[in-house]
Amino acid sequence: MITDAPRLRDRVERFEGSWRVPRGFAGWFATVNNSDLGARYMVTSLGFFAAAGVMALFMRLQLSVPENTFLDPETYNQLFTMHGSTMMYLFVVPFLEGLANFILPQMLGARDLAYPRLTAFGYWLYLFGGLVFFSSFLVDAVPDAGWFAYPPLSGIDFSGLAMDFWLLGLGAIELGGIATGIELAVTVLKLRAVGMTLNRVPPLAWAFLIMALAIVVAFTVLLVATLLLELDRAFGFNFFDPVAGGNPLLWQHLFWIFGHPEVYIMFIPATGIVSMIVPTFARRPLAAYLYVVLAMILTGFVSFGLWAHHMFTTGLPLVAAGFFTAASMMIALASGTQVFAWIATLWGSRPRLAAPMKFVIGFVVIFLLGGVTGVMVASVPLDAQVHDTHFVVAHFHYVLIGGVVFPIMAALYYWMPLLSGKLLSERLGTWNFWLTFVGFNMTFFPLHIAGLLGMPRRVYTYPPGLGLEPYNLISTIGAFVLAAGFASLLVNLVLSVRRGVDPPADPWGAGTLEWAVPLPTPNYNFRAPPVVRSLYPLWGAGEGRAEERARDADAATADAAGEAPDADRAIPEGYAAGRWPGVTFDPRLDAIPSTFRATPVTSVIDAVPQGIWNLTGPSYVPILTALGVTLAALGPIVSAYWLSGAGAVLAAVCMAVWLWPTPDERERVLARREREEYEDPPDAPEFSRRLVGKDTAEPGLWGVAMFLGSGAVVYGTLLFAYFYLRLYSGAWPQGAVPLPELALPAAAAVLLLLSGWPVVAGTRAIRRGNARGLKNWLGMGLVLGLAFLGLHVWNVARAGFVPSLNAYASVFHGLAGLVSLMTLLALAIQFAVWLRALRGHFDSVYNAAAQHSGLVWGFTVAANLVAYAVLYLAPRLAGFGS
Amino acid sequence: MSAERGSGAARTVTAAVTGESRANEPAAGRLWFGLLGGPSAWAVAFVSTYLVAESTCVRGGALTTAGVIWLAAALVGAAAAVAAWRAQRTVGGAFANGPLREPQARSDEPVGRRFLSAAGIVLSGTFTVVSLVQSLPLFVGVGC
Amino acid sequence: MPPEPTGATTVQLASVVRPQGTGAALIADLWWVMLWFAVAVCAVVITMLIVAIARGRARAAEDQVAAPAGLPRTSRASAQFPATGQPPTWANSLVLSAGVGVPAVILIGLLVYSLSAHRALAVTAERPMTIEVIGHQWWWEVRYPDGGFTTANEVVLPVDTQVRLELTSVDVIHSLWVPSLNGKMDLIPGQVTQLPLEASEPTVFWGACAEFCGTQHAKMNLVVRAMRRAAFDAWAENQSRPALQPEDGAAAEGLEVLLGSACVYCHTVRGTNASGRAGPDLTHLASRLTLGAGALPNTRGNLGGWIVNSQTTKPGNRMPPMQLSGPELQSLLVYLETLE
Repeated sequence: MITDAPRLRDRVERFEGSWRVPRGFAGWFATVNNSDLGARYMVTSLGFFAAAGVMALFMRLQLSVPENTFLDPETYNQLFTMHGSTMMYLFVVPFLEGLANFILPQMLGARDLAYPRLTAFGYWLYLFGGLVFFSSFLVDAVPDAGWFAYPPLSGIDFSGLAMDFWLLGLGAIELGGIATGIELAVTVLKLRAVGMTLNRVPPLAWAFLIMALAIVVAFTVLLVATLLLELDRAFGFNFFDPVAGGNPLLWQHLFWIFGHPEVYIMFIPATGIVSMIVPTFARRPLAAYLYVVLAMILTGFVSFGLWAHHMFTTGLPLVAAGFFTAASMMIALASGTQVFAWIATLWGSRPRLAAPMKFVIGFVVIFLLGGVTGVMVASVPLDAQVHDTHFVVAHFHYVLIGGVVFPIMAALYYWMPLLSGKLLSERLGTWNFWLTFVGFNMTFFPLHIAGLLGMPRRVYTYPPGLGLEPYNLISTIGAFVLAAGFASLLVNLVLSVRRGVDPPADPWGAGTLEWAVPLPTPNYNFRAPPVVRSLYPLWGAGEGRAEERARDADAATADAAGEAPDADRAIPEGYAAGRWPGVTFDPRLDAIPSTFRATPVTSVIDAVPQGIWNLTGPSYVPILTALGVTLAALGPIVSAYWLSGAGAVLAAVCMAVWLWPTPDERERVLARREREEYEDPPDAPEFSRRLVGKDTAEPGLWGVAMFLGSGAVVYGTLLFAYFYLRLYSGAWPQGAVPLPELALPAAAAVLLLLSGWPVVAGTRAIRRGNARGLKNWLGMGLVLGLAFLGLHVWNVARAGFVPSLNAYASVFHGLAGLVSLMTLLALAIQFAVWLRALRGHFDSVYNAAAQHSGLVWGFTVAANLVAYAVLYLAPRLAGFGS
Repeated sequence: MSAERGSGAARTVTAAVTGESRANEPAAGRLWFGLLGGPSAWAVAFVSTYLVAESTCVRGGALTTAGVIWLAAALVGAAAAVAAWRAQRTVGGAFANGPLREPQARSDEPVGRRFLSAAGIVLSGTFTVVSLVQSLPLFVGVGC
Repeated sequence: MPPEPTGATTVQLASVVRPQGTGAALIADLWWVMLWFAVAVCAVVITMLIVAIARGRARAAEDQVAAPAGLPRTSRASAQFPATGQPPTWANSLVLSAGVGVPAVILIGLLVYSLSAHRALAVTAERPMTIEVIGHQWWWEVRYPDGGFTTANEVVLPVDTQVRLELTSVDVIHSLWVPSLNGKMDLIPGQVTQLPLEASEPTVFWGACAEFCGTQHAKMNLVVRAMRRAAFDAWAENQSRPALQPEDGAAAEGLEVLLGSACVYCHTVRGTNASGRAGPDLTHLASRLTLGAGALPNTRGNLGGWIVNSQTTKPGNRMPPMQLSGPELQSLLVYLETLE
């Protein structure tokens, strides 16, 4: 037992030591802690928000009167491109990712996110990508083809260097976004507190899970699309060039398969925020929790069926457009569900109208207006009128400012005590609310009318006499009121950090776990892992019907009465601000493990403990990897491909260091298994033993699976491109390209298939503890894999045509190149595992890396076989397409 | 026995770990199929009917294939909802006895599983209907 | 361009909600139906929200009177939470009926309405008159295949007749939009899209490019002139003729200026050697209402300014400033004004 105090004190000291962030300048770059990086994410994104807001003011000034000459057309086009791109890519999603980084571990009862180094990598890539993007101002090559970058306008014939900044800067950000998405999803699935079953997951955590999964899919599609466009621009590929058999609409499809879910990637967490704040201020649990969660899941799915909703004026077949109209209307039901759940929660309650609640009410009102106009633009005929007009500008600002920025402001006011340890001023908050609410409606309501009167979007000026003048003037005045509102938020943030009120613990009397963390938030959030048994652990177990609540209350009283001494110790110092019937901290697990960072892992559905997951401490590897990727992206911009090469090498070396286990990590794991009783008191219950003595690699496996999911989306996107191009192409293969021959590709496919076997056998061998078997099988797998890669490259090389020939050649080489790259990556991983196997790193229990590598190779085999079927068989099949 | 002297929740979890309350739990696979079967079928049907419709309208032919795909998606959704419903009968959840309400319960019950099965009934059921609504453009006779 | 009176014809204000053509009328009906549903939905939801909060505030005020200690704060708060217990027992029913059931009925109704309107908007005429519109940065080339002539930046059509526009582009994506007549349709390089137009009044309608197409997207406008059948036939007859050969001095000099300048590299005047294709066909320039794709009304002064330096009016457009002496410009203008 840990009843002897000195031993506990020692342990806590060790524990805090291992969680300490290195001090000073150097530590700033090495930290991997979720609260540091989450806060940095949010501050950085608010900086970009301010920049994009100022651009918007310039635009509104230009549009205040007709035929204004305040800005020239080039500048205006640059401003709206940068405004849109910054808001979409650099503000909203990163802010929400930052909030998720910061709040999720506390909300779920974890000590950090699942992959701390990945957190840092995501942040640095976001920062560097944003800097690359904005550095376009320094060389006067500011992107000006819109945030949607439709080719041919964004192609090499019509846009210069500016588009390279756009494509490559955003490419880096997308990559960082995917990394963060994988990490957040795994955190919600695997790192929840013991007892936080699926029905006790806070709505915001559900929202972040759905957001993260949608990011992994949608950002991957966009990443592929930006790469294809860059290939077109830099290397003469023809995916989007109609002259060479490409199709500019392919870009629109790919862009909006990303772009529409993007709206919901922002909106779902916003509703999650509201579903956290409303119950707190209504002082009761959220009504219809099940339906609210399902509405968010439904939104997540259906958001991927709305993309062509932005392409209704491109001459889609009527019936195809009809499918999208139907899906667009179905998604409104999900919003209806949530709005009425909030109303039901408030009904009959005694709500407190503190600042967060004011913003929530403003959100509901504004979002409702944006929602009903959303139904209008989902109708093809009506959209044909209002599409690309200021009506749509008004619509999506209602959705994005009302639906997302208002909840973001609510979140800042609500969680500020956790973020900075200070409360924001209520008085300034009231100013902030009314200025933004009035200013917002003044700015954007008139634009509905301007659009109906024939004012298109993205125009730097408009003629007098069309009746547009009053609406534009009101809108410009409103924009400054709105800006004053945002400025008051900024003032409030700065003032509160400098001399704000120190809040008591849980200042709003909220019920969720993040408020059980003492202020200021320690690095590790929880010293002892919490065990929860309610959706609102701080309020008690009362989440069901009245009689169940009574039973729960009895149980809590019984616990308290019967085990009072134990229970008191159960709440470590700093966590004892209240007596929370729905959460317990087991004293036996206080500050355990103490010599290295770790957090408990639980099962997905019922949150049963499975073991602990080692977390890595401070490291320079993430920032260096991000630097390598950024340099690689900078190469094409400055026309120095050697820079790309150097960056790629840097990134690859860093990745190798990253994935190679540190010696102490391995020894630690092996040593602990030998001494199962490590810090493990003999009287610990089974679940404590699991949390202390057993390592689990499950979060790693989930991460690899999601990485492969993203890989599957890459293949899927290229296959979509292949068949879409074929659909609109008279002959396939296009031009004089002959049908590909079959014999050698068939041999390559057989080699590929064969290479799967040794990997499966090797993984099986090591699970039985046969380390030599693993070595030999992996070696054989490597040989077969290399043989496949060689034959594949030879096949492609002798295909006899170059990508710049036509769109068929481009998509053929694109898909073949993907096969090469994926194979190379999987082989590199397998090679590293083989090296480790040679050094005897693995045994029957410690072999996660071998299993992960096997999974990656299995995916590579399957995906490449599909790609081969398309490359070599599809051109021969009549029917679909030609 | 001091090992059991943790909090109530700790006892619960111990029970879960040692498998005491697992006797009548449905397999996780069936629960996940119940939850995700409907939406996944809808997603696959959506992309494929879109491509089929484009292809039919460009190359000519009948739109029946699209209708068949939507029908199949609705059937898969219904099957998933039924799977979730049967899973719920096993865990003894809210739908099996009594009116519709959120499945909440004492901490010593397989509440996560019960929640998941209820969620599957509603979500896959909804997507069955959504898949049918999606086929409306075919019946209204919009054509190409 | 300012829709100023040009001769006897007034340009209609563009408005989605005051339709002047078959397509726009159908869409305007849809708009009003959707608008009233939207207003009703917003009114109901916002009222419920306000009532819920106002009643709660009233109750909270009563509580304050009863217990002057004020709102629960800090650690006391958590002890008292949840002070008002559970959401109403009918919460799930409310969510399912008001949040899902009622909207589902409304939305499915609107979906069917929208789909049938969509179908009704398709080209219905057996053999509609076809006009080809080709997008350029930043002007519109308009071809009449039946009449065998080409004009620019204005579409002239007979009233009460369904006309099918066949749209494509030679450079980037544009979108043709005449709000009073119909929705918009994109002009996509490498593809041909269609847009039916049918005007019910013999007036002039304002139109614009709706897809961002580069620097001068804002000033890529057009007018649609609907004429009665006889007037249209006369107009088409006139357009199909080549330019008149000037006889008297000034105009003849003007033609020489034209042929001797860089104009001919980009512009065509049928009946002369000027046969450039990069810019608008000028054969009947003087019959048009606007200059520079709706940038200016077509007056002599504006035309002169446009020729000398169009970059001041429409910065970034592809027409370079012309180095012409005063007399040269004057005679060129005289000639151009003869191109009725």
